[in-house]
Amino acid sequence: MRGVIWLAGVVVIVFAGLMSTPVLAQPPTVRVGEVVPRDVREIYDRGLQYLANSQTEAGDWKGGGGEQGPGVTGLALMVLLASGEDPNFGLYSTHVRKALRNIISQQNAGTGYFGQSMYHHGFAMLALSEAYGTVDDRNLWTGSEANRRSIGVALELAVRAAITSQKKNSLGGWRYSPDSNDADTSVSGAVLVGLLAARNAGIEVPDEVIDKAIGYFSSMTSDGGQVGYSGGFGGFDESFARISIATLSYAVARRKDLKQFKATLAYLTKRLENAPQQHYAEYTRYYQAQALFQGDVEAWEKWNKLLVRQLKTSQMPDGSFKGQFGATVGTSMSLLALALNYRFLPIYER
Amino acid sequence: MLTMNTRIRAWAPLLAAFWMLFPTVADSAEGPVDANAAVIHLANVDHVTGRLLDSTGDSQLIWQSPAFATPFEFPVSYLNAVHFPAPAKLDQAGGDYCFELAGGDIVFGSLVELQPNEAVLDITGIGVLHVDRTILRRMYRWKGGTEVLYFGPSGLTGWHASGGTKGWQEEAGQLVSSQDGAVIRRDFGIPPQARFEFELSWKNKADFELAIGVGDAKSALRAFRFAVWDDKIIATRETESVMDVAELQKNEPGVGRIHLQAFLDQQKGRLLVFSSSGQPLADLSAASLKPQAFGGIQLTNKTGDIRLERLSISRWNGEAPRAVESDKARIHVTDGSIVYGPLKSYDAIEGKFVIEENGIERRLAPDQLQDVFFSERVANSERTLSAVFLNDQRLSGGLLKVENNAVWLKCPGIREPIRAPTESMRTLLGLNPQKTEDLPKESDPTLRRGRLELLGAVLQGHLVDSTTVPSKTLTWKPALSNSPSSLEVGVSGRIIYRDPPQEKPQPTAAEVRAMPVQKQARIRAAAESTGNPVATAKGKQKKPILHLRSGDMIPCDQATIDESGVTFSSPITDSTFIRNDQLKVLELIPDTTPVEITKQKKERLLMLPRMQRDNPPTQLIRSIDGDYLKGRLISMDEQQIHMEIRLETKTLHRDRVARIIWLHADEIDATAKPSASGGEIAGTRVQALTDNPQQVTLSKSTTGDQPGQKSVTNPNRLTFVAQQLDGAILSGRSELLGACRVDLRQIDRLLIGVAIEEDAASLAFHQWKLRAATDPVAAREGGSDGGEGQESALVGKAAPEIELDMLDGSKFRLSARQDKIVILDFWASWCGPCLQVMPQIDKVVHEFADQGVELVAINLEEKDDRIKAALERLKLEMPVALDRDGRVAEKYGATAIPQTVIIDRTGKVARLFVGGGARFGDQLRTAIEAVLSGKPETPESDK
Repeated sequence: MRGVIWLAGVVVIVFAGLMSTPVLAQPPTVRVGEVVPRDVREIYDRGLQYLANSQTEAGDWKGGGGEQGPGVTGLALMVLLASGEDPNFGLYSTHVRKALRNIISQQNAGTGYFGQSMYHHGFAMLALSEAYGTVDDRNLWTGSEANRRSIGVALELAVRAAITSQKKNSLGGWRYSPDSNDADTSVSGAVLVGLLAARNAGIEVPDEVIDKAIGYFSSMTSDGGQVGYSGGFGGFDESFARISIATLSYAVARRKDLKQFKATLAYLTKRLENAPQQHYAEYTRYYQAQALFQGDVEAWEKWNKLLVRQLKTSQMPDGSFKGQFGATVGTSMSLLALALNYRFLPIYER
Repeated sequence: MLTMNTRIRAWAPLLAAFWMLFPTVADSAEGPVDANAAVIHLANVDHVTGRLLDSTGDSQLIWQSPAFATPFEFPVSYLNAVHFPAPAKLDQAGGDYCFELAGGDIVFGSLVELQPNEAVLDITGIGVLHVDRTILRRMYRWKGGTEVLYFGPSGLTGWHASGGTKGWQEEAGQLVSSQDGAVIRRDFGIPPQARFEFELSWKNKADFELAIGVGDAKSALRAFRFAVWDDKIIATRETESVMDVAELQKNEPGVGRIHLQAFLDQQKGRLLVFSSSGQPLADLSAASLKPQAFGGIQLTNKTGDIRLERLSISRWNGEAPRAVESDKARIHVTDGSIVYGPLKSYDAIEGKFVIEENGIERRLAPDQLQDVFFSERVANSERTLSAVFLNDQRLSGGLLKVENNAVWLKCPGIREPIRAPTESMRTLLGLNPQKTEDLPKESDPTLRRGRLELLGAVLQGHLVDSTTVPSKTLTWKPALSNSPSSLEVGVSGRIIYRDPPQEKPQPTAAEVRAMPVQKQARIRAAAESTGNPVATAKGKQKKPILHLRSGDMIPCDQATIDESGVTFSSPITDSTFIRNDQLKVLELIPDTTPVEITKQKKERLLMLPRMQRDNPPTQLIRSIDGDYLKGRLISMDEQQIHMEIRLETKTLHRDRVARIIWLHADEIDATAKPSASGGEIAGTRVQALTDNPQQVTLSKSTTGDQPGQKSVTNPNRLTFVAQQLDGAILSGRSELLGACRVDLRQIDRLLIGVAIEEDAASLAFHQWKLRAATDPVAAREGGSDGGEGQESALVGKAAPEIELDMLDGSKFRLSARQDKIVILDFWASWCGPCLQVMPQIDKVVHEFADQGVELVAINLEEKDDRIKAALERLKLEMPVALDRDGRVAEKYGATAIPQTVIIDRTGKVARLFVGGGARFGDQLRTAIEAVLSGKPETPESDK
């Protein structure tokens, strides 16, 4: 299932035809993939440059004044993987390997937990899933570092940690701490999407794990398509991020049959013009892009035009994007929202 | 072939009604003037803010305005006044005596020495002065002003005008009104017995009423009043049973003044009126049945104009002043007697005044001396300036010099020169400003005289030839300044050569129906607000016209559009591209038949839904049939227009589109000021403007009036960067149009700087701008937006009855809770803001539980288990009433929740809040306290 399926190709051609800006074809030798609008390419390249230049020698990202840790490194790693450059021999192959080593080296050998919070665990697990099978890790480790695990082993361990955490949780979801008995839809989304990506990458994830998590999301979804944050009923506000997380989770879990999926998707597609709230705009876009793409490609096409316009105006001169969680997260999530235009990441397959 | 620089294009006449297009350019565009700046007013009503610079000699003042590079030189004979900024608090002058001198001068201080020919005074803030006896007019006990309750006026502070102080202005501290019916009132705490002295003046017509001893507007009707009855100025009082009236002086038409002293006894209902020199004029008695003493004064300008120049209020012992022979020197003694005869000297050793009465010397202690009138002995001397100090002293004389922010005067009869620092002066008055007809006239016919209006300045004059005074910016020579000065870079303003025509009132619908069909169509066209109608060559298709945000219009061919702007070709410019942010309208078919559009429809069209706030439409297109479509124009070629409408791309036939209107995001904020556009060429941006292009040709060329112009559309605005003025020909360059030139003798106005955009903003096309939809109250942070819960129409009315089942199975009936204060909280578990405020409401109501305050949470149409789950999660236990069908919410108008209602003990709605927020608890606490203390609700109409 690696590669771009035919429907996506059609979509891009239709999309390109709609945009009035010139569409630049690229030599097939440079990238494997689709022609993308020039605006998208320019925004992505500038952001990519920012991330490539701001990676530390240790392989993680500490600049940009915000969140850092395995989840953040994972997000940035996905941006590198989604660029279309060959991860093993291309422009960013060194960056990719450094990031992978950094993530794996932080994993607890006993529990498989990447640390900091289950948010980090979820995003790190997702990044490893996307790298698994794509990055040749035979020569990943060069010295005698501790934790010299392969991507596959690390991923297996990570999945086990997530499952163990869920087992302790009476709600079937996840919260910040792996030992928590409470859950929220934001952390749960990060972990569940990571698990689904691992399963798609070939790691065994029991159905009951996914079913329980989907059950949790269903219980948090109202008939109208709104999704609560935590606790037994709706949160305090309309959250496009949570609605998108739920939509994406149902879709990747192949549960588009659920009425909750139809409700959340309809909520999103009826409000395409609703720009993300000021708070967590990048986080919202990251999930909204994937939710619409997985749920309704035509709606995504329309929404994507708006996304490109917004990112074009909000990108900083150095290529970064600001955000509540700092420039690394802001840039990574903005670019990953845009990366649906490339569709290089397996998680973006429909 | 002619080159661009040698071509001239006549901008042929516009046919349509131009009065529509230029609303009067009002001062409003100028913005606020720095209240802390001094302002010089000249004899021709010009004024300009700035500061006095040092100068020597008696003939001129050097004035530096912040808007100009170099100072102006204004002859003293052209000076009306310099007003200096007043400090927030004014100190009253100390001293034992008030000395009135010749020329209306007043000083306060003590008497050091009095000789037959000279008095030595020690004056507050000025020092020791040797004063010639011939200029002493009057001297009276001042006691540091302790007897004086008020001496002024000094501005509007402390005065209250009904309907706002709009109708009143302050000029040099004096209160001025020319608005019919303007009323101003102030409470001075006037004692039952008081003395008043006031001066009122008017320019055109006296029709005022001054009431003394008033409490409120109603009591003014029963107070003693000075008023105008046709050709008389009278004093009057009318009580429940009696009325008294006396004529004070004749009221002649035109300019006039009145200066009176009045002694009021409110207990006895008596008023004595004297002239300023002490002649008795009236003695009114009209006592009220229930005498009351009020402490205020009220001045009404009825249908004339009025200026309160002076008002002093002091205590009075109730003894009527005696009649005097006002032309004789005399001394009023504290025992009430009057001694006729000169005050000879002051014996400083003995501490007594020496008086000569009928050839006999008398000695009086200072505390026996009430008031001394010296005989008038001297003719007016040369006085050109009067320094009015902040503490109400004033001294006049001739100018010696200005040095280090102080004006030096030579006052006739005073030995020492007077130093008047600008920071202690209120006003520097010019005493003999030349009359308008005597002001200098410009005789050079090649110069165009106009009126320069800038922020804080109006100066008549003319632009100066840049070949004689080289400058990077425009140079202005005010008619009343001896020197010209260049405008500072970045200054915004306008030069008015001819005032815009008066705006005509819009015809009524009935009037329109009565008009010929053709005229009706024109009116409708105007109603559609299409912008500048343009001349049509008969039977010929008009060229498309580009309207820029600056107001310029460019006829063009072959316009195409992409996401950055319009590409075109035009016979009037070599430029071929204009950016989106510079554009307002592209009229593809300028002769489009006008279609009526109602105000509501236009408002609806231009309303920006909240959903699109971060993705606003960028264009509005109008079809030839008059339909409108909002969206984002992606491209336009010769045949088609591609437009993104709600994120979907639609294609339209270009020949069906009459015009494209650009909607700019920066126009949405109604309070935002226009910013300058373009202007990449260094220099001062100007816009030549004419209201009547039939007779005018604005030319775009640097050289002569050569024939060969093409017949093109006719802009009546031309924006460019001024570079040179040669005679009356102003030339420069436009980024868009290349070389430009205008003959100043042919234009009506020249706009400078950002005033161009401000002026263009009033053009009809520029009224098409988006307006953001308002947020619902509940969506705003803080919910009820800091209101006091008294905005709802329900407040003050009887609370609608409620009969509901409770969650615990009991019944709730509101009418059974009389004598309790009931708090209703309308909520639902799906309402986040409701759940956020419920714990706050619960907590606050608990604080008042022992005072009979009860909470009932009314749930809207939810099932019991859902409600219970919500309460359990919030860990709240509160009485919940079940509004299962939403009827109660409807009765209380709860269309948005949370809604919290306070019902007082009488069963009336005391407060109603919509929305919540983190600080709602505090708001509710304050409201409950107010209701508990019996504070009545304030009807909305009183706020």
